[in-house]
Amino acid sequence: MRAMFLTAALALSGAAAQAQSCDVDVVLGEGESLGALAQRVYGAADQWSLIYYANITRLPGGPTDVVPGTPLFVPCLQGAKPVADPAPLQQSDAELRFLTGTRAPLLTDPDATGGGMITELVNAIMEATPNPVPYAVVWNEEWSQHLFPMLETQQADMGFPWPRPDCSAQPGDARCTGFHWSDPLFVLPVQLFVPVAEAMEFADDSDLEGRNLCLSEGDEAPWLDAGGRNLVAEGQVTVTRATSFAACLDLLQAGEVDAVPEDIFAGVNQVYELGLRGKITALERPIGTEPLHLVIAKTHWRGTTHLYRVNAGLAAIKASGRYDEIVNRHLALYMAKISG
Amino acid sequence: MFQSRSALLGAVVFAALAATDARAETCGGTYRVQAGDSLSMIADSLYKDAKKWSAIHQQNIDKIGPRANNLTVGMKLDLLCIDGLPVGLEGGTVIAAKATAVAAPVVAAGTGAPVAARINLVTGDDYAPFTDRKLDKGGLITELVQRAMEAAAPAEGFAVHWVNDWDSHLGTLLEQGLVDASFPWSEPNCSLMPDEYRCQTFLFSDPLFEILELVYTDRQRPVTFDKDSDLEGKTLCRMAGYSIWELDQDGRNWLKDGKIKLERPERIGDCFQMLVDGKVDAVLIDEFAGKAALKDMGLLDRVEALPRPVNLEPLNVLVHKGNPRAQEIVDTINAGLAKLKSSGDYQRITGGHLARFWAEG
Repeated sequence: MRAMFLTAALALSGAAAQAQSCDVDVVLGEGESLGALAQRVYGAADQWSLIYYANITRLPGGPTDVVPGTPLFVPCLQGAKPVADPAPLQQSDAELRFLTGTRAPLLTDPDATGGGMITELVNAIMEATPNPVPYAVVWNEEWSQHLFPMLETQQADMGFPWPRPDCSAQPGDARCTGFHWSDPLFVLPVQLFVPVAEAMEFADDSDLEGRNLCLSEGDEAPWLDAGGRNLVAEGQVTVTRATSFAACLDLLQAGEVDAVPEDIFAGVNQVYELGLRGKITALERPIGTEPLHLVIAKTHWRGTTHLYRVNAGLAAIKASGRYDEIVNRHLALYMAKISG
Repeated sequence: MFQSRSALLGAVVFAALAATDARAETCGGTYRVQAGDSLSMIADSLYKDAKKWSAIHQQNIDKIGPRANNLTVGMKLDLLCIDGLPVGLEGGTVIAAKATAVAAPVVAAGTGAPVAARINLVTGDDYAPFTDRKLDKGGLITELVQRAMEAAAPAEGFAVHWVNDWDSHLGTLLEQGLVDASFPWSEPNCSLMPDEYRCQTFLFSDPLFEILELVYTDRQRPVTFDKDSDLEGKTLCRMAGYSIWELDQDGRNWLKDGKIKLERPERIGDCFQMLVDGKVDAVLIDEFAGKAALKDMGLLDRVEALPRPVNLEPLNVLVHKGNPRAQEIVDTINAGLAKLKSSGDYQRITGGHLARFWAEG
C-alpha cells in the first residue's frame, strides 16, 4: 500500500518530488526492486548499485533480498568531486607493502582518482587502523605473478583485490592453505549480460535450467556452486569458455550462449567501450556476488597481525562512515562516466 | 651486581684448546653437590672466594635455575677454571704450557685488560611454537635468536640457556646480572607508558616477531569482548611472568582500578584448565601459543579465541639497563637480525615454522 502512495505522490507532484528524491531516505514499496527505484529517481535502472552501496548495512540480504518497507538512502549523483583522500602514511620505508594492479574500472587503477575505489579504501584503512605502520602501494600489472610467487615469497606483503576460492569446498587449494584472507573489502554483484532483443527471464534459479553461460578463461565463478546451489555440478547450466568477456559477448550475439555473467562494473564498462549499449544489457537480478579481499602469506612473520590491522581498519572506516563516503563518491563518478 | 667476567672467557678458550693429560694437574671440572652445601660454601672451598658463588650459579643456571639455594645433593656442577682454580676435579682441563700459550693472546693475559665474557641469553620451555626444547631448533624464536647471534658472531661468544621459571627471567636472572639477555618478551609502547617497569628497566632488541594477544573463552560460557568494559568484573588468567601492562594501557586500567580479577598460574595449560573448570572467565595469550596449547590439550573445539585482540605487540630480546654492556649486546643482536633479514634467512626460518604451525591446523 505504501508503495502505491509513494508512486502516486511522485506522479502527482512532479518537480517537487524530484527535488526530494535524492539525498533523502525513500521507503521501498512491496515488490519494488532497487532497479525500479533507480529508474524512478535517476531515470536509469542500471544505477541501482549506487543505492545498494549507500545502504549496505540496511540490506544484509544483498541487493536482491530487499525487505519491503526498508528505508533506503538515495544519494544524489551530483556533488561527487574527483578528489582522493590524502594518504599521509604512504612512504618509501614501508613496513607493509601492498601489491595491486589495474582492475578497471572503479576498483584499482593507478591513473584513477585515489588509485581507484579499492586503493582509496586501503589508504583509509591504513589511516584508521589501531596499530598503524608505514606502508606503500606497489603496482604490478602481471596479476598471474601476484599470489605465486610474489606474495608467497614476500616480495610484497599484502595483495588486493582478490576473489576468494571456496575454501570450505576445496580446503587443499594453495590459495587457502597458503594465505590468510581479510574480511571482504567490497562485494561485487555479478550480473547476467544478455541481448536486449531476446533477454531471458531471471526471477530465480529455476529460470537458469538448461541455459548455457559463457565465462572467461580462468573465471572460477564460485557462486555457481556454493551456498546450497549446485548449478554446474547438477547439470542445471552448462558453461562455455571463451578467451575474454568480449569473446563471450561475440558468442552471445551469435546466439551460441544464453547469457554472460560478469561483475556489474567491468561488464557495463566493457559493453559501453565495445559500443554495444542498446544491444546488450545486464539483467537486474544478480546471479552471484564476488567478494574481494586482501591476502597475506601464512608464512609471513606478521601474517595475522597485518591481517588484524586491515580488518580493524576496515571495521573502523565502516563505523565512521568513511567507507560509505569513499564508495559512494567513486560509484557516482563511475555512473557519471558511463551514462555520459 | 655485574661482576667482572674477564677470566671466564680465558677459561672457555682454554678448555677448548687444551689437550687432556691424565698425569698433569687439572683446573675446573665437575663437582658433585654434597649434603649441606651452598653455592657460597662451594665457592669458598674451591675458588677460595665465597663471592664467586654467582659465577658458579651463572655457569650452571640450566641446572640450578634462578634461585641460588636450589641445590640438590648429587647435582653435578660445572666449574670453570678461574685464575687456576679449582684444581683436582673430575673432567678438568689440563694445565699445560702449550695450551696456555695458545690461549694467552685471546685472554690478553698479563695486561690485566678486561675481556668481555660470552653473551649469555636465556629462554624457557612451554611457549610453543616460539620456545620449547621439544620443538625443532627449540622453536621459532629460539632459532631466530640462535641464528642472529651466529650471524653477529660476537668475539666473546654466546650461549643460550633454558630456565623454565619465566617469572624469574626479568626480576631475578636479568636484574641480578646472572644472564645478559632473555627472550621473548613484549616491548610496551614506552612513549605512551614511560613509567612501565619494562620501559624503565630494560633495553629492547628490534622486534623478532609480532603477535596478537587474544581473549580465549569457554564456548559453554560465552563471554563477549567488543569493548573494554565487557570484561569488567571477570576473572582473567595470564601466566606468571607474562606481561600485564596491556591490561592497563589506553585508559583501560583493568588492574589499576581493580576492574578485573587476575589468576597467574605457572603454565599455559593451567590457565586453560582453569577456564574449562569454570574458575576463570577468560585466558589471555597470543594466538600461536594459545592454539598450540589447546591442540595439545585436545580443547580446540571447547575453547575459542574472540576476534578482538587485547593488544598487538612485538616479541623482543630484553637486556637489563644496569648491564654495563647493555647497548653493545642489543646492538649485537640487532646487527645479527639485520643480517638474517637481508640474507633471506629470517624469512626462511619464520616461514618454515609458520608453515608447519598452520599446516598442523
